[in-house]
Amino acid sequence: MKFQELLNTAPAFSGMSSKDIDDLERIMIIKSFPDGHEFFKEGAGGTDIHLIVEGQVGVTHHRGRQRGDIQMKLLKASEMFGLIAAVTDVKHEASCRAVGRATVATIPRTAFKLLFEANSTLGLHFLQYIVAQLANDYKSLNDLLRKAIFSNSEEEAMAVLAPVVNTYIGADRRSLDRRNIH
Amino acid sequence: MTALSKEFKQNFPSLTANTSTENLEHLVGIMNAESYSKGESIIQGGLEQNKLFFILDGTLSAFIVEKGQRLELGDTLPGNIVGEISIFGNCTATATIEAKTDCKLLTLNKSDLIYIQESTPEILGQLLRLTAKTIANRIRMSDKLVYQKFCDEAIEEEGKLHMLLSWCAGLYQQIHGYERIER
Repeated sequence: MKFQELLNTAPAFSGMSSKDIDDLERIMIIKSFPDGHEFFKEGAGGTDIHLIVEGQVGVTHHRGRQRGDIQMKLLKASEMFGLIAAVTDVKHEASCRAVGRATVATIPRTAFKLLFEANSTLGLHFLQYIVAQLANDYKSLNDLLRKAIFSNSEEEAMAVLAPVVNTYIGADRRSLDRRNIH
Repeated sequence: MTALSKEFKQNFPSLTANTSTENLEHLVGIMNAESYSKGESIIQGGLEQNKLFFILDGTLSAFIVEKGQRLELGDTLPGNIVGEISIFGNCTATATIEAKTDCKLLTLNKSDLIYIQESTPEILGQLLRLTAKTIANRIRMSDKLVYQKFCDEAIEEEGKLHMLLSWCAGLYQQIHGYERIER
């Protein structure tokens, strides 16, 4: 999918005018990346902001030598990453890597800062997009916890939390397997 | 400046810092001053939201109710905004809010956001930035706590479920911006 097509069709950008989309395209650097390309590493200082045009990007946490890397989520086209570090001005708390070939549009950090602080039409639409994406992640966590808290039984509660737990257990097993082989 | 505009400016200094008196008066002019008595419901959890609430006086309390059980989240004081995440995040209200004491609020309808985008974009910008930072900080905190929890504790053990759900409830409070309530 081309960048303009993405911005013109994705619901997240529906509030943006043609001029906004043109301006955004001028700011962004669009490139294709191979499988495994690391956009930023967990613990790295502030870097750029990225929007997936095509393909997928995996978000991983490193949980030590024994547990290895855990994939927390898989992002798809029209989703942004690097946002939390940029918005809160902290170091990245996860790594992001291309899963398969991915086309990504990058906003350089200085341009992001200008957009984030701007009260122009483009700036405000961009802010609205950022808030909508962050709210989506927030709501998912909210819903998960709520289901667990108000479960009817132990089995039901564990079933709700299992996907999160299994991610850890799975990572543990993979690390253990590697050690046993060698 | 009207008394209401002064009160709004005093309670929300960072929001109104870069706004002229004239624009501030316009903004307050399109907002609605609302009073709620103790115990009155202000936001119903799970429903769509169409207002932002700016607390001028009084205390609001937040909670969630499901299957007859109620989980208290915490209190919100003057100088705070309620409803911003569901308005700007386009999602239903994640908690129920009611007046813990008699309250005085200024409300802004979602439909008026277009107006303030044109008349006082600096305020809309500030609201959006505030909301983005609030959500981002809560997600950061919850990510840390969730993965720390599952890394450090063996939740498969029998008897740990009660502790785990208590922890979930505590986290829920924290991601809503409240301090954990000791049970």
